[in-house]
Amino acid sequence: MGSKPVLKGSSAATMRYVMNAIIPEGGAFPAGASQYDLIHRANEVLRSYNPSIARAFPFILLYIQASAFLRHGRPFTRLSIEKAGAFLEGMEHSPFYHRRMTILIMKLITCLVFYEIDELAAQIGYTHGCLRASRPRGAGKKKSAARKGR
Amino acid sequence: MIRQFRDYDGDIRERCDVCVIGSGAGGAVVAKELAEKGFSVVLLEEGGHHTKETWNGKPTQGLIDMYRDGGSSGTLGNPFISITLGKCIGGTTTVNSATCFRTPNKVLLRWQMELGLDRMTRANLEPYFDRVEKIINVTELPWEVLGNGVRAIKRGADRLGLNCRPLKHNVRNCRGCGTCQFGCPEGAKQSMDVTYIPRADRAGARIYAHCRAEKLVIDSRKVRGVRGSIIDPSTGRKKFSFEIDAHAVVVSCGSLITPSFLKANGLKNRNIGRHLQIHPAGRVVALMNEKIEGWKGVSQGACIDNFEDEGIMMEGIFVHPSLMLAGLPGVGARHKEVAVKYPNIAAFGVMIHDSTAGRVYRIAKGRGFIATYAIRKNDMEKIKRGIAYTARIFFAGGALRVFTPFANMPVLDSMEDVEKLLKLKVKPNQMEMMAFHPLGTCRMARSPKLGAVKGDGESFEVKNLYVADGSIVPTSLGVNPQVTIMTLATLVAENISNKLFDETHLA
Repeated sequence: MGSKPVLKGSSAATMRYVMNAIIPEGGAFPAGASQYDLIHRANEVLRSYNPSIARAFPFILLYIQASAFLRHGRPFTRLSIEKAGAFLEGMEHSPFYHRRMTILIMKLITCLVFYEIDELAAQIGYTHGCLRASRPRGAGKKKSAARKGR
Repeated sequence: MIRQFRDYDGDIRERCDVCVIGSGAGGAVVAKELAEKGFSVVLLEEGGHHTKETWNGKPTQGLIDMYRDGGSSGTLGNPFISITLGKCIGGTTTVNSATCFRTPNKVLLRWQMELGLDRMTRANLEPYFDRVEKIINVTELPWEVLGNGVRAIKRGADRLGLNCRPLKHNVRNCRGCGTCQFGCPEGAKQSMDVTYIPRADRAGARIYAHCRAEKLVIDSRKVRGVRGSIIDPSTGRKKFSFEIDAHAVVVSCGSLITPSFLKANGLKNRNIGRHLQIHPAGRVVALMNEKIEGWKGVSQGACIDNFEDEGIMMEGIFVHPSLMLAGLPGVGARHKEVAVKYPNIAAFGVMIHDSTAGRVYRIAKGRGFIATYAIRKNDMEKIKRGIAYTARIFFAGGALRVFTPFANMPVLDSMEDVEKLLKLKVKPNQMEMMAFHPLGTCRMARSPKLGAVKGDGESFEVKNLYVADGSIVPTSLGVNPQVTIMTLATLVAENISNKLFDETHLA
């Protein structure tokens, strides 16, 4: 496990937007990724990864930015959240393996850090009697109203 | 006492009869068996020591703390296949589904005929199986504990005349918390960390966590000890070093690490790293018309083995939403629509008895590895059939919709779709594949032409160097391998004991 965060600066911003697009606010349940600070926790997950995979992560995010630019004339983080979601969903249906893998990895990281928060898992009906109620270390803090959303 | 990073204040120097590297299903067994016979044993583990007091049963922390590379290991090929490996005291047994099978008879026959392992008969192994199963308390759980998830598939199996039966588990007083893969919060799972390792500890074995073995000391084709580093778990950096001098060394680092470690230490046998078999697997997720709450009950409760002759094994699997939902289709609003149906979801896994052989390569210095596995056409066809059969069972059980791991047909809405899937051509890279049982990369055999170690686990090349983990299991089993690995490790321990006793006695 390295000690430096994998996601910082622009890669953290892109990852945050990817997370917001995968789990936006509203819809079938109210909470969205934008309401929580999930990057810190995502960094903890990535730091535990094989360094060669972790090092590739910012490049994968760069690929998403560039790929959206080629398709929509704007980088991914400049798309509306609906368009961003549709763009990622398009990757899921892509005939190209690398595009499907890219969105799978993004969904995995997002779901890992989002649904580990008990109150969020409860919103989809998951309550577990055996587990100690706990907040993940230093993450999943609800953003203040001022910092919320973009 | 299990010493961890916080207990170290400097380098470690030890002298012992046997040094065991790795504390999983192989290493823990060898350490306990030899320590109880009066040998001085040192047991090294690269990961940390986690207990029910320190884990929360959730995937994220579990992956960070207890899995190698946070669960990101896998094989390269067509496609990438994720293989999760435990890295903690107890190894993968701490984070597996606790499913227990004895080695199938036809597999033992194959070992005897193809690899000359004449001692691997059912009759010879029976007492060893009994011994292992008693220690880890292999038991059959009642249906109430086996999980809500298996209810739906059992209903479908019954309607189709198939046999959905409970799996055996190594548990004691299991209440069915269902978080088996991320540490048992009740301490009910009888993994190595609560069975063999405490016994080894009581028998005097010295157990060191956060110790990464890096070098075997080999002199005149005889092993003399192990050297390595003590790793700070917060940074992953080397803090101290250790030197263990030993009469015998047992490498039990698992099928992906052991071959690269042996190669890094100059072993040349051509079978080291070859014959990798992994039981490729896929998941089938069904949306039911009723509330299932599949997380209630053990995560891998039952199996359907009617298709064993085709090399297909179906076993229950249910995981936390943070893992389950990532694999289901949909982003944004569509993801949330699927997510709120999580309580109505049932899932089952399909794994195959593979004929494909992959390979483990060493990279650079140390124990870094690359594993390759290009799944063969017949194995791919097998796994597709297994998934289609499972979908059929779910529909017979009342499923509204079934999600497959295939990119070209991710959703099935009816039995007709199952028939379409059976006829569909699926390329390997159109499937999201995973595997949990890497085996065979230092396989046992009669001669060095066929295997990397002898039938007693000793290397063909270096005296007193043994291997005891999944890598010595000669072929794919078609069933979960932990009992087989423990049984073979018991045999290896007995052989070491006899040999060391003879050497000491003669001396």
